[in-house]
Amino acid sequence: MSSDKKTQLGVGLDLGTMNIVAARRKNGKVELSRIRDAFLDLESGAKKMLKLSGVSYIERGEGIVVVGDAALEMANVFGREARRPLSRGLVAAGEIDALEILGVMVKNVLGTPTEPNEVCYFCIPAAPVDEDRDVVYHRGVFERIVTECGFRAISSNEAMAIIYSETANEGFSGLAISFGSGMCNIALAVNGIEGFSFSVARGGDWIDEGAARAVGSTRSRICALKEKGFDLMAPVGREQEALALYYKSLIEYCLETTAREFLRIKDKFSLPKAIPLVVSGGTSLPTNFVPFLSSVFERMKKKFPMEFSEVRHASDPMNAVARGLLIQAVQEYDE
Amino acid sequence: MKEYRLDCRHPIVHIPDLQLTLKRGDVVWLGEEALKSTVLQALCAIGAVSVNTGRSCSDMRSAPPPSVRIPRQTGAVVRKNKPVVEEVAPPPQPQREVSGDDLDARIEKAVDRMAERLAQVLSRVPAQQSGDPAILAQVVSDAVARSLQNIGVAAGGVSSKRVSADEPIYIPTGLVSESMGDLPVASAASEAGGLDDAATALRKSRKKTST
Repeated sequence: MSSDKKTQLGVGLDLGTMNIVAARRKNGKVELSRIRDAFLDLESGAKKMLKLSGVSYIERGEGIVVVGDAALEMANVFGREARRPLSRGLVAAGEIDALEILGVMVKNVLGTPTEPNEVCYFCIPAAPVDEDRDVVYHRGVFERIVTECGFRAISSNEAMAIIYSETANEGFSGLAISFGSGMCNIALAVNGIEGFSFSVARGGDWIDEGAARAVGSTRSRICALKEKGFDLMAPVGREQEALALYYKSLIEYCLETTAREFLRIKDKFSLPKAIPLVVSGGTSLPTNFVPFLSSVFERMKKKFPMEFSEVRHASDPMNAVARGLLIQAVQEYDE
Repeated sequence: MKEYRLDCRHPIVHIPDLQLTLKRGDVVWLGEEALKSTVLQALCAIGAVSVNTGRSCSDMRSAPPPSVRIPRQTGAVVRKNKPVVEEVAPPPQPQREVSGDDLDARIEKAVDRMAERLAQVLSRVPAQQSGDPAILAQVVSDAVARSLQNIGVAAGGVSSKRVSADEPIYIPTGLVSESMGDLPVASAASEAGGLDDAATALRKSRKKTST
């Protein structure tokens, strides 16, 4: 095999509650493929309308399935909720329909392997500390899907992928928080060695639900408002204020849980110096998220058991996990 | 006539068709007829009680233990472990650390519920299947699981984790179908910006860690 081809090998696959993203190296750049993690099953009678609208669909049994962004748009048209194959970050057990849809989505974002058994690192969340759920089934399902796509599947912790993507200059030392839609994943590493990793079963969806309840609105309306963008440091109106309140609560919850987890391992794992706190994920996208987080942290700083050199956003918050997974896949080939 | 020794291993066990209520450590001697009790067989299957090989009454005559007889409708006989000479407090059971002060009461309630459900469920089991220990064991396990589902016993302050009924038991194959067609995928490219350097550093770091 030529060295040119060799440098192109390896894929990173971020499997999120909201998006599935694959990252590859191509022509000296990182090529990203993304699909919205949602689907909508419809009666076959809707085919004609979908064809006229130019919406792609999959024929499945006697019905049809619309997948991705189009599923969300069509859900509004038909007055229904789009289905999500992942529930709070993990595959919903017993959702055979969802597994097949996930299989199609992953196959489409991954494409065909450059060579048989090309390495594909895919992310799995850490087990949540606040819910009686584990990630065994989730990992097993995606291991099978990625393998059936023709790749050698290797699983990796989601927040550690951010460490690999964002803290190379610090020798892979830092605390990474992935603020996702279904959950938040947190990992601490020093010199690439994981100190702890865990997840909390709260994320963007939890914020939407809470804010919607608080102001008597709907979750989808609050979600749309949030995705449209707003300034966390200067919320305008009741809905944005409710969102900011729930953001504050989520950040406090993540930091308090981090402090508690750190105290459990601090005798076995020492931090030689201050480390960076890197935040990432779709839920970290509102304007001024980092200053907002810093202001929340400032109030609990005295009691916090570790010191941060800085708090910063990942260079590309939506793709940091996929990029970190790609780095791990690439290092399997580099000599 | 042969008699069989029944040891109770559960905090409380009701055997309605034998009109028996036993506590952990109680020993009951039963006639052969009593072994036909479907509830007894079911409780044996889940290990709540054990029935040991019987011995004949003539063997027991040499050292007859004082016995306390219960109503004779079913031929069951209760005998205490030790001769009842005077009222002696039962030996203290080893204490387990449990979470919740009212755990015992809750377990008793759950066992009562279990006995009721068991009786209901067993009445629905077809007669020809009622002798099948595997079916009985399954029926009883389900009834016990339903009765105890809300009680979490904790030892040493660590909460117990349960496997819920909807816990997955297998991962299906053939999840990636060739025939399902192509989907629109959004593509973008970004600068590699130090990706190769990071990969090299990570490889070195992992080599160093492994050596």
